[in-house]
Amino acid sequence: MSKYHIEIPSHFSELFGRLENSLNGQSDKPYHRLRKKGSELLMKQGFPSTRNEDYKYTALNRVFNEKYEIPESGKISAQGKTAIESIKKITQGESSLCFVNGIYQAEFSSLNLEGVQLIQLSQLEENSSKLRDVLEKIDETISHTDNPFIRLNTSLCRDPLLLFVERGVKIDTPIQLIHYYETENSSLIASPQLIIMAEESSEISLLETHLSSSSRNNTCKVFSNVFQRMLVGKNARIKHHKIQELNKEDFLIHNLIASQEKDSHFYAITADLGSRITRNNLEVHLKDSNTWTEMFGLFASNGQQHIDNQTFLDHAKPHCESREWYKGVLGGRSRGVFNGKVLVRQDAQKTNAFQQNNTLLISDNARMDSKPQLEIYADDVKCSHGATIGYMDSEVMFYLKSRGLDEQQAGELIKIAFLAEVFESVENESIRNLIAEKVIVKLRTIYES
Amino acid sequence: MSDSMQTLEQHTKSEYKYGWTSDIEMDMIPKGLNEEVVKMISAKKNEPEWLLNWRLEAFEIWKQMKEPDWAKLNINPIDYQDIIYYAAPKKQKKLNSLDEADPELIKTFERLGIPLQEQKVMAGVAVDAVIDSVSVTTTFKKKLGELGIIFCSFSEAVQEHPELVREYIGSVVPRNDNYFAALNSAVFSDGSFCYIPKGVRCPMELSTYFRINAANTGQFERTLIVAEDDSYVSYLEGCTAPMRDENQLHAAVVEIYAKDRAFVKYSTVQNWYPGDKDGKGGVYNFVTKRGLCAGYQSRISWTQVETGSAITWKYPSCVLKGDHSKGEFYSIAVTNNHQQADTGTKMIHLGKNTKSTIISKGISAGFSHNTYRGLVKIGKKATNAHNFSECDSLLMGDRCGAHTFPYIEIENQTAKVEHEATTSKIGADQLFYCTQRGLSDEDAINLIVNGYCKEVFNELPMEFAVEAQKLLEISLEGSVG
Repeated sequence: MSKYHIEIPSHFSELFGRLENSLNGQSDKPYHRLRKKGSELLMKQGFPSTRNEDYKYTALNRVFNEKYEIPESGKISAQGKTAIESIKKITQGESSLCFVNGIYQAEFSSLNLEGVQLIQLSQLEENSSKLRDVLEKIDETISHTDNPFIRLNTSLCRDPLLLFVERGVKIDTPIQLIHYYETENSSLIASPQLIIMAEESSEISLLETHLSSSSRNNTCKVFSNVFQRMLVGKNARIKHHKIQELNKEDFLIHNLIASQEKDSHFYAITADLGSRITRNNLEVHLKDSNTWTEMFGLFASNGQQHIDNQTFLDHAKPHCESREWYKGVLGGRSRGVFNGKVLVRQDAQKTNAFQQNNTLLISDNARMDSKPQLEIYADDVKCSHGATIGYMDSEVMFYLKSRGLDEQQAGELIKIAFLAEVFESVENESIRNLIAEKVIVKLRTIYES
Repeated sequence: MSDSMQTLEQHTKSEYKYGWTSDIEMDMIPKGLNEEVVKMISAKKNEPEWLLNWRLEAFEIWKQMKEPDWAKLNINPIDYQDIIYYAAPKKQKKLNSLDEADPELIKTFERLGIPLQEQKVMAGVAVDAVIDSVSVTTTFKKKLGELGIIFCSFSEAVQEHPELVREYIGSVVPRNDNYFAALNSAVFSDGSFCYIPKGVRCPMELSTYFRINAANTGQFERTLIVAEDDSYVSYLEGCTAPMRDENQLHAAVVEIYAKDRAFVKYSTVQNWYPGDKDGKGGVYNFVTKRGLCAGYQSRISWTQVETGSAITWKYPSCVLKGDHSKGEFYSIAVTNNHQQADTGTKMIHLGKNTKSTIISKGISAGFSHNTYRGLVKIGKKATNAHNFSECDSLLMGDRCGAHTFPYIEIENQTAKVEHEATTSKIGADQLFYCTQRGLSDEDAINLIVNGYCKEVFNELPMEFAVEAQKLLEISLEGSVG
């Protein structure tokens, strides 16, 4: 174990054994080999300490010290059902995949799209090439990643969910990924795993929401450790939207690795409004030329919240374009972190990469740490990054006040306009409006607190 | 563009101009580092006991520390026991005028192109020339003395102004600050000391030339500048080292202490031996430079042109403690062949209404790696702090790397921090425009690169700016892909 890691606490290492015992004979299934491997690699690697450069500003002790239970499948409260139904309304509930405490719930889910196949990994035939393919991909990821949370996720995931989008299939309406968490008397660790393969010239849009119930024993926490792997095929397009509104005690570590083939487009936006600690690990690998990548993020926080966005963009091939923009409003005692890295490899000539992070601090005790990084090995490139951190512009404030707005109204308008630059990139109108609505509500609570 | 590629090839082959050794008899101590060596250095310099203890404590601290490994550098392991920690020219009688100095030494300076004599006098520059650890001659001391300015070698200051040295040494860069600062504190050989009294505006640019001369001697100089209230000084530092195959370690410490309304301008041109075309040899330049703006409205400005050294690890910093104080950093870092540079600055805002500006221009060619690493920190009590950073990189050739790692840590809501960085190469359209106006590829590139660096050149004192421009041409001639 390197000096940048700490040993896995015993209440974490025990979890794998507890899961294994509860699997009822499923432990000879091929996926279990990966669980085991993930667990072993994790033990060897350890959890990151703040001496680790990528975790310099985010201490996860609070997450590590909590004792978690592994969620049982099948139980859901009436209140949960209502909550899920109301989220489904966003897209009229046509295609939605529902996860309760990280476990896929087929009975609350529906997906009826031609050319889109949804499979739980355990349902794949044991010798099918598809299964081999998927297992290989997961194996490769957990072997090569330096992200211990992907290993943790794999070791504790009950059954990964696979989504195949066939060649040429274009789906306009967003597929909802509804994550709902509830617990009564114990803290929970959720480990959902989702693998999406979008084949040549296909197009899909995803809307992922995270929500947790608040009716529980106050001391209980939910730790959701998500892993998603997205393979964007030739000329394919995946649009991923995420809205996170967890309880103010909950933790989210969201790990997403996307890889892009020739001429593909990957778009991701994350709106982080809730949770105590959120850490987004977003990694995009460009496997072939002429790709287009967009990464957007917005966060609005107050109280003790801690929102950390880590992005890594690997420009390995020529003629690729990327754009990255993260904006946040920090109130209360909250902290924001942005650590974005753009790597342009030697072969990636004609790369055009842009990265920006802007933050508004609206409280004396808020804090922002920003680290936009460029690592460039090719000469014929255009790369730039920028970061600004500051308070609301007094001139803008004056202008609005001179038009008859009071301080609060003017402040609200400035903040909404500030974040709007990010969520206006969303093409789908209903998703854009939804994010706008949630942001406005959240900003109001920041103002009042 | 293939033409310019060829020109690049030709010019990157140009050899290091300052590579030679001068045969001056040296007074050396045996290789290696232990308590005895520290004591020996201290004894040779006839130091008071408190300084010896200070060194010994630093040595203890150093032993507990580990070499830093976070920089984006590939460093061959350094054997600290294989270095001679003290070397001084043997003829050490006091010199009253330059004529008494060793003719070999004067020749050395002449070959370096330092107009130490008449030209320098006319240029109005006081030079404290340091060759391998001992300050050989100090000019203009008298004139400065009349104003109450103390400008002398560090060892002299220890003898003559012990109370000042004792008060300020380690006050800006503490011994436990980092590995190389601790090492320097234990074994520092000599350096410059500069004290500007209250209300005095130093009438000339103070300048020191450092050279590492003897083979296998690390140079551990230490510079301390103290500027009292309402004073002003501009300090120049230039460096050259002869060509040698083994890597030479250079771990210097520079401390600047600026009081109320004092303004210290520190300019460096560094062209130490960068190693040969294959990356063999060259100087390891691991320097800790820091200025403390301790008072109200004090101001410190760092300007550096880094073209030499095999490896540069250097972050001239400003601690803006006084209200309304100001820190500036202007840098050009050029790397070619197999050079590596990890350099930048730290601006630490602690006082109210503090301001800082960072302008960094990196140019990488050949197989080199050029990294900007900088920190802007706005503390909780630093109300209305303002920072502006601009870090640009220029890439010449497709085997080099340019990296930007800014760290921005903001704890106060009234802060205004802006950072921007770009990386690109010389545009074909720019080149075409120049060449169709009749300029050769070579001249066109020089013109463009000079324009790119203008913002920093403008900050350099006149003579330095000319020298820096020349250096840039030598380092980069024709480098475009």
